[in-house]
Amino acid sequence: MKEISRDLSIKNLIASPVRSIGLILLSALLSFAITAGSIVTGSLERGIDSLNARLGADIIIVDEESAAAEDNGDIILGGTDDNHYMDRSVADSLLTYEGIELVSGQLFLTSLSSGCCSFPVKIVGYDPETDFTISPWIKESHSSIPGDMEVLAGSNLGVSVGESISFYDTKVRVVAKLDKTGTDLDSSVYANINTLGALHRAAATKGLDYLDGAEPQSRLSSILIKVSEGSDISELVKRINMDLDGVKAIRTKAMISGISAGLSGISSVIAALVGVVWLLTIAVMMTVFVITGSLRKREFASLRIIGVSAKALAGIVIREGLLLCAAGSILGTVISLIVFILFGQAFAGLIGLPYLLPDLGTLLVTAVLSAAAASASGIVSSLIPAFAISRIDTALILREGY
Amino acid sequence: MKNKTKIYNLLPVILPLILSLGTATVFKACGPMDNGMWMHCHGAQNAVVVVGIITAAIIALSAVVKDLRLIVSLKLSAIALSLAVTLVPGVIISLCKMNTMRCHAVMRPFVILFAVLTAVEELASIVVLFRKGKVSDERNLQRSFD
Repeated sequence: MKEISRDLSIKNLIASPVRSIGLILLSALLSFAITAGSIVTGSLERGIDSLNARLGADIIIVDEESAAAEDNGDIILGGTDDNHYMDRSVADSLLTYEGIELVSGQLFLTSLSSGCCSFPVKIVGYDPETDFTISPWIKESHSSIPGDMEVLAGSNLGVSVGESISFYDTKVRVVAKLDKTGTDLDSSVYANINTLGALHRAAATKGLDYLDGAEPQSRLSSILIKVSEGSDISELVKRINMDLDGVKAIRTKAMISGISAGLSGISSVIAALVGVVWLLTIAVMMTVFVITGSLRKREFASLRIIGVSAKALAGIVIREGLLLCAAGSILGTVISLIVFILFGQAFAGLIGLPYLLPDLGTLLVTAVLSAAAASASGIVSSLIPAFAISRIDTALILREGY
Repeated sequence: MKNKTKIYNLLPVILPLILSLGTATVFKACGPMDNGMWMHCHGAQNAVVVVGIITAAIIALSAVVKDLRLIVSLKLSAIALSLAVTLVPGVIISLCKMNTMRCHAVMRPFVILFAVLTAVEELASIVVLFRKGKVSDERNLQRSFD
């Protein structure tokens, strides 16, 4: 009798292809929503964690015009895109402030089409002797410190280690590729100040004098500050903004908290949408099972007569629900994985926020859990109809011609 | 019924046509540079469009011929072409050097997805073809291969 009831579930589903396909697609939609929501939320969280880990600085100082032109959050996420510069003496003057532990400057150049790309690549010049943000990142990924005419490439650049890349018709060698961070840092190259100076001179020969005749060693795009333990960061920011003209100090953690708050808002909306889809799916499936159960009363009554127990009858209905949801869950999860793995980069570009896709193992675990959760909805939605069917009065149904 | 069967057999043509049409329109490669010149990825896009159309034509032909051997040969050709087209963007024809650009982020994943779907669909249809042949008349199947 067990074999009969097991086979019956599958045969019942095959006998009603339209209903079965409809419910499978509904379940696929649910599992797609759960998987996609989990992946997006997880990737956003990883992105912000990555940015937090990479930044390292407590305060960032930029030119006042840059700060006015761009949102503080954008500056934190990718630095300044325009070509406003500060005098290096600003960094020197900061060393006199009490409470400041480390000061390091960065100089940005924006390349033209470098023979690789139709949009500019940001070249970040840093001083390895004072730097405390990029060097730990380099060490973490076991990469080399770039020498003169050598660069570190962000993960988005399609170049290999040892390959040469041209900026302003000047070749530099890629000595390492950095790990993915999920931020604009991935689309930049990093070089020491000497290399940047050479590239700036090359740019100048093409009529692009970004520094208005000044030497690269005398200019900075941003200054990163690490504050001593126990010092009041907000107070320092206020003092710097009051004392120094033409620059703006921004507290990085406050900005990241702002971005994090925005991301948690997005995560809440995603969770709410997934919840609504889940409830709707269960409601629709339950309605379909109740209606079809009602239409199949004579069938179930006949099964009772030939000896199928009430429990087995309920099992048939629950098994049908589980099979439909399991099939739909697998379909929806696979589609979701394919979409996010193949189109992940495009999606990250659309969002415009730190977005770091989890590794394959984590993605698979997420997919399995999402499929399981969606499959469980099949059991939930078939419980009430299964209970009702197990309580049918066989004699009444067959006598009165239901 | 015969016409209905023929139309049904022509449905697989949709996948390679979506591949060609999609690559030429919504999922196209990067636009021209400021100086008006096209980059390598544009060539990859055009190659995919052409191969997709050829694949669609081969699948359409396999739907109208009667000889089983020829049908299977055409379907195998379609599979080979579909798998080959996945190598066009990025392997056979290089793309832009920045992974965030359209050719990498949009065109290449789309080409891989629909090319693999086409190959899988044609492989499944070959399996179904042989299974139908086994169930109906094994002698006829043997005769058509002699």
